[in-house]
Amino acid sequence: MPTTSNVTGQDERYAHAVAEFGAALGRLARGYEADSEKRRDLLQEIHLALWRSFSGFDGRCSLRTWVYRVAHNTAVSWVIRQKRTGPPMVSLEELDPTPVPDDADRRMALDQLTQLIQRLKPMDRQVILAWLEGMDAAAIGELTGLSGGNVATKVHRIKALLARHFNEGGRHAE
Amino acid sequence: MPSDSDANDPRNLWQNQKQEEGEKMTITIDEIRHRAGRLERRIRWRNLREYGAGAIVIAAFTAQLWRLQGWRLVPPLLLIAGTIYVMFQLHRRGASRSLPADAGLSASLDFHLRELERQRDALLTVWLWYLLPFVPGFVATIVVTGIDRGIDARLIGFAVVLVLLFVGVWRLNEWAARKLDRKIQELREMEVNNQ
Repeated sequence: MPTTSNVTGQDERYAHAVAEFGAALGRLARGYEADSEKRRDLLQEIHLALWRSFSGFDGRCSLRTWVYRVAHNTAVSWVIRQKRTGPPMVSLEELDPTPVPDDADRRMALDQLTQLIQRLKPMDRQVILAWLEGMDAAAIGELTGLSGGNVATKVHRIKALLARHFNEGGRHAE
Repeated sequence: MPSDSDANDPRNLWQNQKQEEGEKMTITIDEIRHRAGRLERRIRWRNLREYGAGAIVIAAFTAQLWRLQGWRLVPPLLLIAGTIYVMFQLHRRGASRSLPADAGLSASLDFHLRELERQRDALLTVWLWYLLPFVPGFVATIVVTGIDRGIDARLIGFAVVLVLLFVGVWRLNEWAARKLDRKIQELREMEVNNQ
């Protein structure tokens, strides 16, 4: 049975995490689940897992790393459990991006970026989502468990992929 | 390229997207506690259903014990034992279905590998903990029925259907495990490249 001080600490840490990373968790869920109804369920699952996890938070890693690990690990379990009906997931190397049309507005560009993320295998999805959230290579390595060299290679591929995705079909194409 | 200049930077585009209604999660602590309680109730209800189904099977075979004697008691006793064993395994394996407590301490690669391996091992051992426990009971049933009534087409048909069902479930699970194996292999390669 948790003590009152533990429970308070758990609640406080959860409230603090949501205030700081709540919007990022919503974006993360969007990267893992295309269906809006299911996405709501996934997001609830992430919040529950996060609140429960804080009963064991001991400060061994930063709050950000903890929050992202719990969220990504919950989302990966979700992806494993779901019965996929669409095309098979691919790696960064295999992904052939559809160039964003010249006249695409912000909404369309974002939708295409989201679809591109959702086609990736979970590990690559984590790296691209962490990179899009502004995490550096060291933080991505801490989150994923990938080595610095591995992360650097993946980030390089992500940048090349997104450049192709956004530029190939447009006026900046070479 | 999208005409909106903000969209030139994918990071900017991603971080400044508008949240949809369902994504604006402002859950109070009380709601979280309520949902945690609901989840636990759902797990308890699922367990009850599993135990309920097992209890019905056990009750049905136990009822046979009153009207049977001697070695004819062997099939229902074996089937009862098999059902109890499978129920115990379902309970044991069900306990690990929720997210592990160390989810915040495990890096994703390690966590992902463990999750896939756990699922693959469960599928690969289905024959051992879900099918095999019923085999002695069904074999004994077929033998006892054969001795009592003789071997006829109905008994052979029953035996063939059982064999096909068992082999089918086993092969289907093995096929699903092989699919997971390929994913595990990819992650293992990633792990090797890490070193």
